[in-house]
Amino acid sequence: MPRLFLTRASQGKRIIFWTLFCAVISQPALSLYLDKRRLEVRDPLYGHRLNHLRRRLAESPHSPLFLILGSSRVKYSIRPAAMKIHYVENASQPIVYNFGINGMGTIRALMHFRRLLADGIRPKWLLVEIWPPLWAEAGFFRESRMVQGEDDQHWRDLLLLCRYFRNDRDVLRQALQKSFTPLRAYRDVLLALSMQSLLPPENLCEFQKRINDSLPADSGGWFPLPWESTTPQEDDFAHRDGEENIKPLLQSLHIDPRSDAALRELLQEWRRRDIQLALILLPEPSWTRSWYTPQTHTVVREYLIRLRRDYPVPIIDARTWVSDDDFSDSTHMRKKGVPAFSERLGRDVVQPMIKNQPFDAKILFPGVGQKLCEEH
Amino acid sequence: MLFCSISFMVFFAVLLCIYWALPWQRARVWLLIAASFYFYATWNKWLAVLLCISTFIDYLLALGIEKSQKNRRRKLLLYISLFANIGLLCYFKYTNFFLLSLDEMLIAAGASSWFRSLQVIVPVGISFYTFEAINYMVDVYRGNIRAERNFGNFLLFILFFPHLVSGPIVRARDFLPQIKRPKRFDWVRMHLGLQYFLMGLFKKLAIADRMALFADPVFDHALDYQTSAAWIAMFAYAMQVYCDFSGYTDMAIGTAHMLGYKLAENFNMPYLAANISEFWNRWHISLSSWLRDYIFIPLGGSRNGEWKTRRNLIITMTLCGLWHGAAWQFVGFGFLQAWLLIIHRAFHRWCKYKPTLDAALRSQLGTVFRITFTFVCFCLSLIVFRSSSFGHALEMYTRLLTAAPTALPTPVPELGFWLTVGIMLAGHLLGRSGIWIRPALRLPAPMLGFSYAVLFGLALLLEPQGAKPFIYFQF
Repeated sequence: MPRLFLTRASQGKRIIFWTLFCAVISQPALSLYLDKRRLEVRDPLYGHRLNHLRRRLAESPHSPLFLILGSSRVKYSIRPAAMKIHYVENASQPIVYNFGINGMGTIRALMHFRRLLADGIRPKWLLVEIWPPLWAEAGFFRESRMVQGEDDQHWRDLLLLCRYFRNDRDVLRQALQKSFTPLRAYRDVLLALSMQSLLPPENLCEFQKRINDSLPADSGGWFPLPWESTTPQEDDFAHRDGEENIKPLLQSLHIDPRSDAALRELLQEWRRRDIQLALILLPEPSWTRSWYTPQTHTVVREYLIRLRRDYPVPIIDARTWVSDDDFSDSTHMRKKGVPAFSERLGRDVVQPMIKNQPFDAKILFPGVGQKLCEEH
Repeated sequence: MLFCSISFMVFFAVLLCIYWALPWQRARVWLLIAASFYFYATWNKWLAVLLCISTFIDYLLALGIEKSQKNRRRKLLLYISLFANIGLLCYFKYTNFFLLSLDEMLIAAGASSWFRSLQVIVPVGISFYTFEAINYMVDVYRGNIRAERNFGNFLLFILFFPHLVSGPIVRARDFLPQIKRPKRFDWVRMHLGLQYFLMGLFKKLAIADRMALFADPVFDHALDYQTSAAWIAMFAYAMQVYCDFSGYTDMAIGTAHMLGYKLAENFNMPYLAANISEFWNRWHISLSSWLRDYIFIPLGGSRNGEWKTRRNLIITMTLCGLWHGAAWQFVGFGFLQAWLLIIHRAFHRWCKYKPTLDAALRSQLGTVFRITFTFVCFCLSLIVFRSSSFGHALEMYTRLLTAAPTALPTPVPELGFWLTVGIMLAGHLLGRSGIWIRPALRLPAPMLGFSYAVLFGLALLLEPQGAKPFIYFQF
């Protein structure tokens, strides 16, 4: 029989104390270490992009930052390198960076904005995507799903997650597990970084794919769309997919109070800091726009008017800027459409913001645009 | 709720605090009953209720046996109890097996399908607690122990959660006196329990579940893999099944120690056994000794000549195989074990007339050979145990003996396998010699505590994705 050993009672007590102490302390300590030093281990998408952005900022330390936050629509559609911006003379040229992350609605935009601030990223300008289907917090795009699938909840996200997902036990359970037992939650990643031969090949492939998916294709943080449709069948499939996931949300749009609260919290954060902010509705193909019912239009319009009344923030309406041919599915742009759209965005939105000039009234959301234009 | 899950650790930590905070022994007993009921009810609350009802019936019948003066009446009560316990076991575990086997025979004979399988859930650990109830009833009948007067004590004997679902099979004469003994909180025992628990956790998560990565895909599609992958899968499964079950037992013994109870050891480094007979004295000791005491010896044991001994071995070991699961491959496994035991007995007798061979086999080198030979024989017989059918087992044997250089290599890089083999070998040798105890005793408490925490951390880190239940839960 395996021989175990007995100790004196006092020694046993001390051993148990030290075991519990080391076991209990080591987990949050590892969690904190990963949050502070090795973000890319637990959250490759955020960590690698943050490292990439930091390297960009380190290359030109005096350049102010123009940050664009949003969902995969931002991630795959806005290419800062294609923007032709005439910068202010005798001033440091700003760095425009696309920080789009899949499925980022308002709660996750707030979460990522907070993370970026905590990681020392101080943008001077901020462009945030808003997209009505993400306001519903329902169906395929609900952020409780996204927050579990796309992000790895950080230690510092816990409070925010508790506030916004207090009724969603799965989110909280996962967040707590990842924060308090990171050794177990990230065991595959940790093994992949230290002893790859202990991992099954499929797990290793998945890890490497996730890393590859987290590295931007260019210096501005843009990613080319990886699932671009090329055949009529694929187009048809993409269209049906949109009809299944987006159309129902737009047909009877309701704005989830959590989504509204997060956007307002983000705007309050913006108010407290010296950041110039604009919200943007990104391009949609005509068939997606046709899914908005008159009631939905009213809901969106009234919501944005209310928002505009409470916070003097410009709301850009770019929904019609791109032709249908340039869309791969109901939401995402093809690679070929990206340069033209990015150029226009640079000219009509980024440049006025950098130069502190008013926007052209035509690009502002109808109904809230006139008043906004006058103010700007 | 698995012993290696975070939810169990939280459950146990809370229970432990409340348990030792209670000043009354009776309250502790009822707390353990409630906790054990909850533990079992997390799988299925109705089966937990059924378990309590069958325990109550056994409690009444045992009292009846003890009170009764007439031998016929005592026998009748014992038979009622055996019928009820074995009946429940057969209904839940073996009905479908018998119905389907009968159906297959009818179809083979040209008749049409007659029977439909029953939609029943097999209660977790039914084979374990049924055997515990039977040993209690038989011991009361034989007058080896007195019937328990207190229902709470008897309920705890059956329900005690550390041994409830996967043993060790506890004897009433060992356990019932412990319930009545006053309990005092003891740091020495807590430390011992912690050592057992951590050892079991490491065995389960870092070794057994990791070895499943090598074994499972190959056993499922043996012909798709290379010969070396098949051999590795076979040895990996041997390590998996041992570490899985002995890991569970260690955790059970550890948790019981922390609650002030002592459960019997169930394994004694079986892979270091020098022959198959010794192997079965070291592997699943509580089942082997149960089978010996309640089946093999009542059948006549080895007292009535060689042929009857062989018959008794075949009956006992075939039932042992059937106890493991309701499938023909388990029966086949038991039958194989019986024949290995019979061959060993014959060889042992033959060796007595060959003193040179006997001496050579008893030398150090000979012992290493015997250990290796026993281990390989057991591993080869395990193929039948692991395979989902005899056809799959045959495929596995075919692959072990035929080369397939173009087939798939091991599903996971081999380094992990050899590393685990090294850890297990070192663990066995260190554990057997005990040379690590003296330096460990000299280590300061923070250092030991730290090393335990490292062991815990390694178990969590090395656990593959997708929690696997304990293999013996299905039995």
